[in-house]
Amino acid sequence: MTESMLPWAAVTVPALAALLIARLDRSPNLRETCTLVAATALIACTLPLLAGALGGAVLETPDFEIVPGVGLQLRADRFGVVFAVLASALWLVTSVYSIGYMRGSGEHAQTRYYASFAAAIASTIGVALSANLLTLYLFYEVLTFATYPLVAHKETEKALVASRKYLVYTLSAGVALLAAMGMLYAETGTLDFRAGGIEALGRAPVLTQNLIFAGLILGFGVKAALMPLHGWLPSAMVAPTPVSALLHAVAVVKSGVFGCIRTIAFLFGPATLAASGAATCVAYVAAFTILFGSVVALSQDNLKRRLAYSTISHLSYIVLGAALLSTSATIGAVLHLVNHALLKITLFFCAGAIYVTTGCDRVSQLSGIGRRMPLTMGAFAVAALGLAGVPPLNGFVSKWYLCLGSLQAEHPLLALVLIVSGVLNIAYLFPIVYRAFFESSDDFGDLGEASLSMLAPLVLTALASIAFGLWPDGGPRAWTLAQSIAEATGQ
Amino acid sequence: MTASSAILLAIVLAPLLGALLIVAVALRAPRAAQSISVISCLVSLAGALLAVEACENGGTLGYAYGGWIAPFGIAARVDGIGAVLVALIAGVATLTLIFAERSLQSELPRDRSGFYAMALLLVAALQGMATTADLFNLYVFLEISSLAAYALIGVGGGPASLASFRYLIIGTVGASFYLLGVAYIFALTGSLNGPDIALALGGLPDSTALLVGLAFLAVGLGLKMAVFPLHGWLPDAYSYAPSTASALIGGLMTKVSALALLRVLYVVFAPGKHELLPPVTDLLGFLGAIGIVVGSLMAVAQRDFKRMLAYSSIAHLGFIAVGISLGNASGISGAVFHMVAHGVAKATLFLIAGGVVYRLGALGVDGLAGLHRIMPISTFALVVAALSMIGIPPTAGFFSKWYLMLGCLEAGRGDLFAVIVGSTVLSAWYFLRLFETIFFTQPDDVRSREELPGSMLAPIAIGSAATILLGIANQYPLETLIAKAPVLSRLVEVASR
Repeated sequence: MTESMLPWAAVTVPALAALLIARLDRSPNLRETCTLVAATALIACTLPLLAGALGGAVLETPDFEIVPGVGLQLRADRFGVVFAVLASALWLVTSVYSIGYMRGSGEHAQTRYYASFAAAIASTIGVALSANLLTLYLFYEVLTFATYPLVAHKETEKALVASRKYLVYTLSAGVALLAAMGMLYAETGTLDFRAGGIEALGRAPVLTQNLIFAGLILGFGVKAALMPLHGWLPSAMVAPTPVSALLHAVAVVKSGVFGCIRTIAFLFGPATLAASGAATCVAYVAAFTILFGSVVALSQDNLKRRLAYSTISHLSYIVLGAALLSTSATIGAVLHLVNHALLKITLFFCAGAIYVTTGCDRVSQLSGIGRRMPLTMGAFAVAALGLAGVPPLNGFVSKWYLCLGSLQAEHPLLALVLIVSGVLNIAYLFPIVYRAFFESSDDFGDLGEASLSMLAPLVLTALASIAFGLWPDGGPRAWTLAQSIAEATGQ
Repeated sequence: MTASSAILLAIVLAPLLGALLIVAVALRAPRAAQSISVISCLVSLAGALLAVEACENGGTLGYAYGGWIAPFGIAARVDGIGAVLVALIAGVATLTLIFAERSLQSELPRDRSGFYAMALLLVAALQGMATTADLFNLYVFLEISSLAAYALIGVGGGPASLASFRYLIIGTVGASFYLLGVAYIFALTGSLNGPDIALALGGLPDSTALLVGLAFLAVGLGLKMAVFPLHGWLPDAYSYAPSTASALIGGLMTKVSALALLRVLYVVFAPGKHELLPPVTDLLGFLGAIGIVVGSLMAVAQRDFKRMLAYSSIAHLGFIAVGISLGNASGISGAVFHMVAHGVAKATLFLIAGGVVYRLGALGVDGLAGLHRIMPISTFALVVAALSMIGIPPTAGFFSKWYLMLGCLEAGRGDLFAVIVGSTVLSAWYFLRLFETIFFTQPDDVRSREELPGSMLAPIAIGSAATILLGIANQYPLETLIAKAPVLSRLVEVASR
């Protein structure tokens, strides 16, 4: 490992951007430039971290002790880097999209919006790069407070109720996390993430182990929207669409999923969990969430709510992959973390583009929209196929590994769950595509595609989904990383 | 005179002499009052910082008043824990008195030099309590601090007079109980000096007389500290007093009584030697836990900003009581650091309340709508201080909670652990409701940006920055000063035996 301040720079860049943006209320153009520059600078920070992780020289910040034996420390290990690069790349894309969306729909309080957005990204990067649970907890709590103004953005009664609900869920989760963290520290004296888990934990009494595990999974499970802890997510869809796209499909929810994987593979480790059997429980909860989320999605007419339930279901793919404790399943989990992000952000971008152009937010209003907005709906169809796991899209690759992993772990029933869920994905997403292209209506007159700053990002992410399906190891080498993470954690 | 005596004298005498000086010059130069008070607090602060340095890694400072050596004379003694408290008192007092002038202009239009004299008297008495090793001397300082506090609360006028009178009655009862307790101990041991009593008590069997003495001491200090159910005087006193007085009293006074209780329980009664101590500490922990829940729930029910802060103080004193009751190093370290964390954050919040009154004249929770547009920097400071009260890292409030949690686990008290962790939700509840009102409610009349003047804004900004700095650098006060204090090393020694 190499000592470096670069991980701190990656957290500081968006944090400073947030402060700067808050001061630029009077000049919107300068404000948006600030967002774009910060997003670019952040990528410039995370790419060397990626190179370091791939080259075997993991970058780590100096240890600054804040509790005996535990420091405020960042470490760009392979798993953290995957999430950090994903979040930073998609922040740039979403920023471009945001500008088109927020101006196109004439939203109020845009300064607060961009500042909170940057603060949320800063905490997400912090979550990704935390070297121990305490540092992660710090950023995880800050993330809650940074995203709260985004959920409440519209300031209507509905938005305020949704934001209160969000806080009740996430702060209660924080309490569970805090309790579990305290017990873990009292038991082992360390909170460090180690590939393969903390050894001393395996020697703790089983009841203590299970309490700690339950606390951590409850704490992370709320943001990961594991059922029955998912209630906040559909309500949070009241936020502007770019928020739903990046934060409620990628950054915030994936922080929860990320925390679950850190817990399973880096705190407990497969040996300890296999002995206590706790991971199997999580796997079945995740399987239930996958199916039930998809079924509920079928009945949602509001497009964003349908996508939200789809998100709930797909987040559990990742949790399931981690909880199966097998090599292939872990590879699948890491890959799906990336692939689902690309696919789901595309779908939300499409929903937002439709909303800004036509004012429609319900599935039943979308007849014939495909003829007016062919590129948008084309991208939608690609992402829908990807989520269903159709080759050669990226969703297929991760799902393949997940199915393989369930068979390896001797849970064939769970492989069946994944296949059934694929069918359900088709069932709730394809009627939209069909309606858009093959039904006609005169509601849309001579409307066309959304503005370029909204269209380009969604086409780009759709193309990226195809590219990562054809070359899973292309670009940022997600496949290599996933494989080495799975090997290092000994699963 | 040695350096250590000079330091201890400066800490206590500077504010005392300042108070007298203000009275002397008040008629001729009323404007000098504030300058004198700030300068004396700064001298006290300088002494406190020197004391902090001297008490690193288990060091102590001692001084015998008038050269009479204990147990015959009165001894002053500061260890790592005392040094932290002394620095807290001097720091918060300095900030508050810098803030005071403009805030008092709106709340106390008449002559203000009396207020400054009383405030300095209070600070001197609190410093005296924090530094003395003598039980009777503690009583004297306790009475001085109370008298000063009655006056400071009472000047608020209207309902404040009644609140002050009520506090006077209850406070006098508390002080009398304490004095009775001291009398019992003196009758048993013939000494008033803490360590000396501990030696004498070590040779005596536990007796009913000792138990009665301990009970009087604990109830008397518990009243002053506002431990549930002895907290009745606090909400009115805090909410009707001028905001500067609330900051001093709410930030500091109860903490110093808590320190006195800590010393009685673990210095006067040597750990591990008295069978009658555990029932008393268990009761204290139980009452502390109830105080946490009741205080938080009452805070949720308040619509007035200062009243909400007052009830939240009761909850936070519950945290301190629980920490003290645990009787292990982690718990007590957490309690002492919570005195600092809560003292700084709560004083900052009361100062902000004073700032809001100064600007807007009103103070319901609902009256704060749109505050971030009028006073953006103060609002930011409010958010930071509130996050520390909730216990969100990296603010100081998180780390005191962390040590309290570990203390509960060490003592095997899962119930207290659950209360401490779970109460986060309750404190988050009332502060987040405040945030929602500030940020997402439309105010009745739109006002333009009008930030507080520098002399009010600077103390607020420093206080709020301090909650973050104390959190990030918590290992210095916690591990270098508090945990190394002789009281705690003795506890660790006894526990490992």
